Amino acid sequence: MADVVLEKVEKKFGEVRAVAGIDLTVQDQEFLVLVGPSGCGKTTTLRMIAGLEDITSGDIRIGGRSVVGLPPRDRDIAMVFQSYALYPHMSVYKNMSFSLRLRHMPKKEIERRVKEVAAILGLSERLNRKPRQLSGGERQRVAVGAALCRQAGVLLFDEPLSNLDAKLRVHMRTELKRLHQAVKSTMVYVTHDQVEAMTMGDRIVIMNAGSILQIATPLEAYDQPVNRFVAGFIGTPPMNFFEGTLTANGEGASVDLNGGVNLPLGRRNLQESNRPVILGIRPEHIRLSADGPGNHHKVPATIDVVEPLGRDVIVTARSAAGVFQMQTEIYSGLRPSQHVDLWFDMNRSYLFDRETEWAI
Amino acid sequence: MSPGWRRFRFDVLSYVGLGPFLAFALFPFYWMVITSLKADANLYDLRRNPFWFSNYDGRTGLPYHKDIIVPASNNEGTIRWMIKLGAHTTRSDSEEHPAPIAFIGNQDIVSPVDGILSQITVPNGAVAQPNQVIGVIRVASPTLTHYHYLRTTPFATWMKVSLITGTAVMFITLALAVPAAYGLARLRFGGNRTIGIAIFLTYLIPPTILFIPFSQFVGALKIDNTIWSLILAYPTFTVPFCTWLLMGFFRSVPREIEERALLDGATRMQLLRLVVIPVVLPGILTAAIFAFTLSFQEYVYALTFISSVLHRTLPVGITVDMVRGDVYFWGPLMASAVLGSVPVVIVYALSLDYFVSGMTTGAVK
Amino acid sequence: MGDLTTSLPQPIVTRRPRLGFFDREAPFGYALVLPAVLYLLVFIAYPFFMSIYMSFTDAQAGNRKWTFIGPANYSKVKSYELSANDFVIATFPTVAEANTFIEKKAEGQQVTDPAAGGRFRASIVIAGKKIPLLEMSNEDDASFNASSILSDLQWKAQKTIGGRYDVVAHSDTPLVIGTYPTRAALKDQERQIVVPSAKRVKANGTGVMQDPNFLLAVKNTFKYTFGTEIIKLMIGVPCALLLNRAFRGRKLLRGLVVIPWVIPIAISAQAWLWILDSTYSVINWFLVHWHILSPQKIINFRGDKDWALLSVILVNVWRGFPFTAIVILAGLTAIPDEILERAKLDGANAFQRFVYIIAPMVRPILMVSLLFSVIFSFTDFNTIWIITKGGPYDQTQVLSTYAYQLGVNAGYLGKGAAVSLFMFPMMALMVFFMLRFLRRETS
Repeated sequence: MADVVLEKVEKKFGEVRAVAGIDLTVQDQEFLVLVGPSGCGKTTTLRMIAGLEDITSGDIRIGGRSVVGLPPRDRDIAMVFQSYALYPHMSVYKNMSFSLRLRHMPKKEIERRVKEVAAILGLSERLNRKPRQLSGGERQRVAVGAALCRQAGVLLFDEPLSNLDAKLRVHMRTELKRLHQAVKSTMVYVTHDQVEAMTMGDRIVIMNAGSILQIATPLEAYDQPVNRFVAGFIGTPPMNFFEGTLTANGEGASVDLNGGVNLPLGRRNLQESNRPVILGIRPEHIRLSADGPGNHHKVPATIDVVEPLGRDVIVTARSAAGVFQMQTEIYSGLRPSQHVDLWFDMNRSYLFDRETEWAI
Repeated sequence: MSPGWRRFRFDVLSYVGLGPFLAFALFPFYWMVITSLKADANLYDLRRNPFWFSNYDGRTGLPYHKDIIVPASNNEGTIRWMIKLGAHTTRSDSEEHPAPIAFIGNQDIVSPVDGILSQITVPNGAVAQPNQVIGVIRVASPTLTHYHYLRTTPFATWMKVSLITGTAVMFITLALAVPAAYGLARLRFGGNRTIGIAIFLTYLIPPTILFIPFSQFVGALKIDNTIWSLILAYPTFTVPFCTWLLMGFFRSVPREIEERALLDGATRMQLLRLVVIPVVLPGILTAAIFAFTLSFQEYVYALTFISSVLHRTLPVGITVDMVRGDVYFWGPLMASAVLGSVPVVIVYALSLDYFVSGMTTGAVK
Repeated sequence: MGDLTTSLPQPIVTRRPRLGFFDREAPFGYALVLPAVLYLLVFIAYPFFMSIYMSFTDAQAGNRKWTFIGPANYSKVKSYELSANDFVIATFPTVAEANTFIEKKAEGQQVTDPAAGGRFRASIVIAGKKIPLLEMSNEDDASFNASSILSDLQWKAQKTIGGRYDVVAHSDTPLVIGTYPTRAALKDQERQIVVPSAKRVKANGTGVMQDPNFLLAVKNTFKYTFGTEIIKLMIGVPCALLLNRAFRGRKLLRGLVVIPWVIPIAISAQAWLWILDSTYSVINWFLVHWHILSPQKIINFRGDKDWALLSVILVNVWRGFPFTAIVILAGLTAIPDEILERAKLDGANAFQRFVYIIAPMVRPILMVSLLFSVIFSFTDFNTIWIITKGGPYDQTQVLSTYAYQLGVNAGYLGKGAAVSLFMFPMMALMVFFMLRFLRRETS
C-alpha cells in the first residue's frame, strides 16, 4: 500500500504562500495528475511529497506513515524530473542502477532489474552509452527507467514530457499510461498541459494560486467544472465566456447578453432574477444555425478568422455579445467576413456567478 | 571575388592586424631562447645582428675563439694551459684557472665549461714559452654551453622546490576550496552569502600587505627558511581564488541532478562524492591548474621567507643567485628562464581551454 | 511490453530513517566551509591585524621585544624646515626701470639693525633705497639670509598681473631660512620674512610621512597603476576586437597572446632585464643601427629615473594586456551575433557598432576586470623589484617595494608594515566601487 495523504499542507517561501493548506489523497496505484498554470503550487506540492522542500505546516503520509522531516531517500519514492536529471558522468546502466547500488543490493539482482526495465523501455542497446550520446526521447526513457528500477511505492513525475517535441510527447503519453497499467504503482504527475492531464490521469487535480480548485476524473472536470477558472483551463480551444444577466421565473430562465442577445436556458430549477452572471459555452457547442434543432434562438455573427486543424476548423467570430471561438467541421466552408446565424447549445452551457466565479 | 579568396583575404588581414600584438607578446620569449643559445662572444658582439646567430667577430671578421695559452708562470716540466679570455668574453664560459694537460703530442682539449672539443698539438721536444698560444677553441653558436653551465648551479634544486611546493599547494587548495565552494554555492545556511563575500575579499588582500607580519609568523612557527613556510602561505591566495572559481562551476550543476541523487538514496556526503564532484571535474581541474601556476609564479613570500640558496623556489633562485654582485650572467640566466618556463608552458598547452575560461570566470564571476 | 508486476520482485523495504547530523543542509554546509574559513582566519586575518599592530610598534628584525610607540612609524616630526624662494625685492612701472635696478645689484649692501622685540632686521641698500627683507631673533641668521638673497640668488624682472614689473630674487633650490622644533616656532619665524616670497615648510622626522622616498613611492604607485591600466586598455581593446574575428587558427593565436600572463613574471622579467640592459639593450641596438641615436647617447633604461619608471610600466603592460584582451574577448563573444547583424542592417558602420553596441555591452565585464587589475597593479611587487629594485636611488620605489626595502632589507618591520598598510585604503576604495558596481549590475 502506497497511498499518499496530504493534510492541510502549507508552504511559505518567506512571506509568499506557495501552497495554501491543501488536502489531497492519492489512492494506492492511482495515476493522479496535478495540473495548473505555472506558479500555481503544483510543483511545490510534488517536491514536498518528495521531501525536496520542507513543509511549513500540515502533514504528509505515505503508506500510512508520516514522512514529515524524513530525508527524501527514506520516503519510498522515485521521481522523474523535467530535465531528466541524468548523471552526465555515468553510463545509462549506472544511471539506472545508482539508487540500487546505494542500497547495497546484490550485483546480480541489480543487473536483473536494470536489464528487465531496459527491455521494457527499449533501452537494452543503450546501456553503455553516456547520456550525452542519447537522443532526447532516449534520455527521457532512461529517466523513467531509473525511477522504475527503484520499484518505489510512489512515482513522481515533474513535467517529464515538456522537453520533448510534439510528436514524441504524444507517443510518450501513451507509453507512460501503458507503463502505469503494467507496474501499478502510485503515480503523481505534474503538468501544465491540460491535454496531458486529461489523457493520462485517473483523476486530475486542478490548482491555482496555491489552492486546489477541483479534484475530479477528467470527464467530470470537463463536464462539471466547479468554477470559471477550471472551465477555462480544461479543454481546447478554451471555453467562451460572455457577461450577462440571469432572469428566472420558475418555469423558464434566460440570460441577457450584451447587444440585446437573449438566450433561454434549458434549466428550470433557478429562482433568481437579475443576477449578474457569466455564461460559458465551449466552442464545440456552438454550431451553424442550420445544423441546430428547429425553433432556437439564432445568434447572428460575422466571421473573423478561420484556422483549419484538419477535420475541424476553429472559427473566431464576432457577435453583438462579444468575440468568441467555435469549432466546426471544415466542410462547412466558412470564410472570413461571412455573416452567419449560429446556434448556441444552451443545454451544454455553464453559468458562473460574476462575483465569485463559482458555478451556479 | 570568389568566396575562397574572400575568406583567404579575411584571414590574412586578421593575421596582419594581430601581428604587432603577437610580436609584442612573444618577442621577449624569442629573445630569451636565442640569447640562451648564443656563445658569449657572439652574445656581447654589438656589431653583429643580434636577432640571429653569428660565428664571426663583427670587428675583425675572424671566427669567435678562445686562445689556449701557456701561463706566464709556467716554467719547467709539465706544460699547463689556460684558456685566454676572448675579446668579448668575460663571463660564464671563461675559466681562468689553468688545468693540466697531457704533455706531448696531439691533445684533445675539452673546454671545462661547455664541453667543446678542440685539438692542439704540442710537438715532441717543444719548449713551452710563457704566454705562448698553443691552440684555439672555436666558440660557435648555437651552443648549449649555458644550459650545461646550469649544472654547476642549484637550478635543479630550485626547480624541485618549486614543483613540490606547487603540487602540495595544489592538493591543500583543493582539499579546502572544493568543499567550501560547494557549501557556499549550493547549501543554504545562515551567513552563507556573507562568508562568500568575505572569502572573495580576502582574495583581494595581496601578499604585499601581508608578507612582513607573515614572515614573523612563520619565524614564530620555526618554519622560516623551509619549504613548509611556502606550503602554508601560498593557500592564502590560492584558496580564495579557487573557491570563487569553483563556486561558479558548482552553480552550473543542475540542481535536479542533486535532488535526484537525494531521492535515489544518497546521503549528502555520497551526493558530493559520487555525483557532484565527478560532474564538475573539469572545473576542479581548472582550479588545480590555477593553484599550481599561481604558486609556481609566487615571488614575494618566497623572497622573504627563504634565505638559504638551496631552499629557494625557481623564480627567486633565478633572480637572486644567477646574478653575482652587479654582474648578470645573461647566457645562463636566459637558459634558466627558458627551462623555468617549461613546466608552466606544458601545463598551459595541455589545458588551454580551461586556462582561458578560468581567467575570465575568475575575473568576472 | 512485458508484464512487470509478475516478473519484478517486491519493493525494497525502506530502512528506518537515520537523519544524521550532516544530512541536514545547514550543519553539512558549515562543516564544508569551516576548514577553509579557519585557515583563512589564521593565515590572512591574523597576519593582517598583526600588521596593523606592528605598524604601531618599534618592531625590528632580530628584536624580540616590541614596544608600542603609537603612530610614530606613520608620522613623527622632529623639526620643521622653513625655506623660501622668489623674493619680491621691488616693483617698478617699466621693465627698463626694473632692469636698471637689477644692474645695480652688485653695488648693493646688506645692513642689519636691531628691531622691536629683541629681533634683528636685515635689509639691503641699493641705489639709496633701503629694502627690509627679514626680521629674525638671531642676528647672524638674519644677515646671512639677507646677503644670500643679495649675492647668491638670481635677480630678474617679472611682469605682474597689474602690468608692473617685479624684481624677483630666484634660486633653483629654495633658500633655507632655518629649522625649528615646533610648528609654533616656525609660524613665528615665517611671519618675520618681511619681503613677499614663496614660502615652503618641510617636516623633518622619522615617520614615513616625513620620508621623501615614501612620498615619492606614493606618487610612483599611482603613476604606475594608472599608466599601466590606460595603456593596457589601449592595447587590449583592439587586440580583443581582432581576436574576435572568425579567422582560421584564432584559437592558436589566442593561446599565444596569453603566454606573457602565464609564464611567471619573475622568470619572464629576466628577458626584459636583458632587453633593457644598459649596454646590450636590443632597443638601443635598433636605435643605433637605424641611426636614430649615436652610440654615445644610448638610453640607460634602468639607470635614468624617468626611463626606469617607463620601463616597469612597459613590462607590466606586456604582462597584463593579454588578460585585458581575453576578458574583453569574453565580453565580445557574449554579444549575440543577431544584435550586431541587426545593427548592420540598421546601417551602423563598424565604428558606430563599436560605440553604440559593443562598448556598452562589454562595459560591465570590463569594469569588473579593470577594478581587479587596478588592485593588482597597485599592489604589484614583482615587476618593479625585478626590473629596477626601486632604483636608481629609490626613484622608482612603489609602496610594495618600499615596504620590502624598509621592512625586510633594512629590518624596520614596523615601518615596513606601516608603508604596506598605506595600500589598504586605496584597495578598500576599489573594493567598495566593485561591490557597488556589482550590486547595480545584478539588481
